[in-house]
Amino acid sequence: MHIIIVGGGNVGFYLAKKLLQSKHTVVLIEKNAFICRQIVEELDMVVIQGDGCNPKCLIEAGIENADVIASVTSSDEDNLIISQLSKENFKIARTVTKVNDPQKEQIFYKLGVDVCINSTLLISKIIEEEVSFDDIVNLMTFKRGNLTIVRVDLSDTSPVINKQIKEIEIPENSVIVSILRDNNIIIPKGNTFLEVGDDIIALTKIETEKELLKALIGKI
Amino acid sequence: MYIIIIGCSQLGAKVATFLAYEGNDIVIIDKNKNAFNKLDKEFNGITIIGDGFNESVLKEANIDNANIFIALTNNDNINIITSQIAKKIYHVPRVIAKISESNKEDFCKQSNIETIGISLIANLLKNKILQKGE
Repeated sequence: MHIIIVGGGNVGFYLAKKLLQSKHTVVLIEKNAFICRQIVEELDMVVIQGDGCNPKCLIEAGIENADVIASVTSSDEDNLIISQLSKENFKIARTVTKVNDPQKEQIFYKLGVDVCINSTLLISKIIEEEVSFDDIVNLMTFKRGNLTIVRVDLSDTSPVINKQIKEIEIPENSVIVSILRDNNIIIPKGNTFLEVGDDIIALTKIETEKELLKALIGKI
Repeated sequence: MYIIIIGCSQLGAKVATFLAYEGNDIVIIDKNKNAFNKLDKEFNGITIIGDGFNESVLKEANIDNANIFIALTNNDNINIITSQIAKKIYHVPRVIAKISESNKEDFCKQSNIETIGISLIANLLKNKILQKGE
């Protein structure tokens, strides 16, 4: 694939390195001359010194033939503008946008971003999953914020304990994807019984997330 | 008219003051409360401390009823994005953004956002110079 990365910070650098290893064609755009030089020395790749928000710079990086552009600078605003420009002016197939401020993620989706990587949220979710104070962990949200994957831990107060999957009432837009029991992964069938201590991974539309949780653990 | 301005920069403050003086209802938003010191003492509009990206701030500013939205911060990208939010999400009839880099002006026009930038200043200057020349 032909990939453009905008932003030569840690994320951009290691991303370029990884993609080069997989033998993709990668071009990186970075504003700072010193950083550009460092990258060229370490990675032996094409680095363009310039502003990814400037269409001329994108053309120089080969955007007309690129498959994907990843904007991973430290500025959320720059990342959004770069993604939009790439999509609207150059009709690039796919844009990946790093968002630092979790509050901006929704807005970005509303303004047409394909894929938003919210590193802050991802890391905080991983932290929460390890520690898991609550019975519920929201693992991942995608499809422009409409779908979410949740992990629900069934305690002994859960209303679905000792019931079969086919007996429990979960909302229409939700599906139980797998059950983690002890160290085993169970792909549930209609006659699978749910037990105390089961960690349920479910996929649900955001609107019915609360309903699903109520069905599985009895409270929100 | 009901006008929302993002960015109480020098320009933002002046525009807010002029428009308020002409009898319009003005709401001006800025992240920094000290920015509002630039407003005229007699400014009779509303000031809101907050971030133009934040939908609850925009709702507080009553964006659903705004006639005009003007982005006058010192950051082009913030101006472009907040203008897009105003136009695409809240359908404000008229949206204007201050843009200093001319290559971004075209990008705004594609979204039906009017721009105040280098082209405008260049035109005004040209007219001023040519007038004197005569």
